[in-house]
Amino acid sequence: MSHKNILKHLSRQEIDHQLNHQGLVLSIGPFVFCIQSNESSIAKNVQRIYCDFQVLTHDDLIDFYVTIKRPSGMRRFIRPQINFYCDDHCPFLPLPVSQAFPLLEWGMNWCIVQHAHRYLLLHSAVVEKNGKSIILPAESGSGKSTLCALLAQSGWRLLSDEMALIDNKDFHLQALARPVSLKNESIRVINQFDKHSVMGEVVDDTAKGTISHLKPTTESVRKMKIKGNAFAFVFPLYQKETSLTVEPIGKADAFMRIIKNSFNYSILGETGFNSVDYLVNHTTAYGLTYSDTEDVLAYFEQLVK
Amino acid sequence: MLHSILLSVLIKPNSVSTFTHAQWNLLLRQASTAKMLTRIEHLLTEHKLLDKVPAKVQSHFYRENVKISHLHTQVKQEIQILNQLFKKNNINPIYLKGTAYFLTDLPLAKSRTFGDIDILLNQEDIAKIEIVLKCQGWISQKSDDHDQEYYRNFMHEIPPMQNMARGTIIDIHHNILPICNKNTINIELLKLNAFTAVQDSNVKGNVLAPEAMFLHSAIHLFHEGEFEQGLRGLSDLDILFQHFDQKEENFSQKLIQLAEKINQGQSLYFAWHYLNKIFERKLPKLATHFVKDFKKKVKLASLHDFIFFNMLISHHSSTKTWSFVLASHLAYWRGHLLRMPLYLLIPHLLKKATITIGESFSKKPKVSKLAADLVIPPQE
Repeated sequence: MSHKNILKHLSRQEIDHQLNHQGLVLSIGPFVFCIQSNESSIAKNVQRIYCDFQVLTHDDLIDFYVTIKRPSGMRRFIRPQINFYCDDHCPFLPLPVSQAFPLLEWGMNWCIVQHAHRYLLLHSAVVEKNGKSIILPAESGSGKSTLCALLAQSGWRLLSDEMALIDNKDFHLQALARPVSLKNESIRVINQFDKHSVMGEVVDDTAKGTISHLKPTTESVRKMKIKGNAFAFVFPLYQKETSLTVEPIGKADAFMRIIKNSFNYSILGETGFNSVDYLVNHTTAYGLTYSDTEDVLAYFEQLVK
Repeated sequence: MLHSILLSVLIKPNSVSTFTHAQWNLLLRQASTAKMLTRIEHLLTEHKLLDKVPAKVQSHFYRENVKISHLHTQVKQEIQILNQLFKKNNINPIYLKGTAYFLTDLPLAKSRTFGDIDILLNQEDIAKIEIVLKCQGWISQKSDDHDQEYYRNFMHEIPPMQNMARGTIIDIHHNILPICNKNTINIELLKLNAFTAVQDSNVKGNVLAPEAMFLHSAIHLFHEGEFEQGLRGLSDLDILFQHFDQKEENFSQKLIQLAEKINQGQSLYFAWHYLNKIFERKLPKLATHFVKDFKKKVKLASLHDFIFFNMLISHHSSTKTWSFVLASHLAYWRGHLLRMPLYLLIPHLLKKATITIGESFSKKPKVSKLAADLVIPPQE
């Protein structure tokens, strides 16, 4: 690998140049992405959110070539739209230009989900403290990302917001430390919780509502190559004005809930079964209902003591 | 022809031993787009070159292998279900293409993905099997009347049917070329010597005899109008031919005889000609003579060369040239004209265009195509 270079050492001009031409090559967890785009919102957000990530060159091996660009023809001018490409392939319908950066984030998730079958992929956030990794699987809207952001801004190491990557060979957790995608109300909640949190541009009217991306902490990005050990599964559920309750989940139940949250369990076959089996037998699982921030943070502190 | 790194590796696998990272990146992109990653892996394994492959590239080979073994598990299950249905209803179909290669355990099957199960039936059994499948949760994929009519009146197959629970797609053929065409094939001649292939004791099915299997693959490729997977099609023919030529006695002779009987000498000529010209394969004597003799009979031989030299290389933005774009258009029209005579084709295309324009005005949202929904597949 060539000399270590961090994105924040590159000027905006250099970033623009790379994005506009051959593509900006970023090392993100075990993957290398080459990102190409002429959109200034991509340059602005990438610079802000990915500033701690390592920049590689075109002489390094690259996993995914992704491009965000406007379709040709009249739609460039009238209510302009934007497309995501993974190499020559365009898997999604176009979106309004204002959603360029969220589209890039979603597209990168798509690349990983389609291809990373070395891992059992769970729709979960993963955070770590004291060498103990907590996996937070949850449906969208259950407060997973907010919880993940609260923990990340309180000194927990962020391994992942959108998906847990469990290596099928050694069952360790692979970190990605990609930005946390915050929706609607939670953008304000996190801003108030930590005045120093760095966020990308706020984008309204996406399929998920208003969206902004929280920059992962420098420490989380720096430790990205260090693998995590799964310690517990916590299935969070945010419920307004309730006191915090925790209920243990039995192994059989946990097994079913984990595979329900998996992107590739059925494709992996026996390998996937073995990974879930290992996880269930080496962790404990809880169902967590919460509303108060302080209470929930205290609960997590006590969990990894 | 612009340099295709994928093609050069298929011709000279040894070239990878001096590859730079940038060259591996390009190979990975071209092979991935051509759906030939696993094929490259098998080729490199065969030539004992796997230790030259960087770990990162190998992990991409790995993910494709995961997908292929998942596919094989699904196909096995589906064949078992279908065979029961066929048996109960006294229908004796022949499996074609991907499913047939899998059932016959051909070397090709290990490096080839496919999207649907193709079967060949007697035309008089079609109505019966359609009802049987509908009762078991299979629905026709084409809902509009024009498409239904098009398939049923002019084509060699009925519209694909999909299982609502499992998502599997089945293509039911009664011939291998459109019936509205003047060059229809006497399908009984192609079916001669079909046999039962046994994948394992629970998974078996009828498949075409080797020479018919190869010819079907060639006929299919050289009647296509779109060639995104053109290079893989030619590579299929390459592996099939090498395999059968070794295993079968007088394989070339059998091919020539069958091709002449069903009036498909040109498809066989194209197959051998381009295996020789594009993949630089040395042909058996009989094949060389056949190609030499047949060349005189081919109309517009240099136009065909222009089309296929461009279409049967990798389709990737890195290899796109003006001649490629021109050849794609020519191939598209050639494909259409081979499917339908002009007096049927023009009304069909006009009708299709009206329907497409109509659809673009109705704002029906397309399902699960939004980037925001990372879809978790339903667990069985």
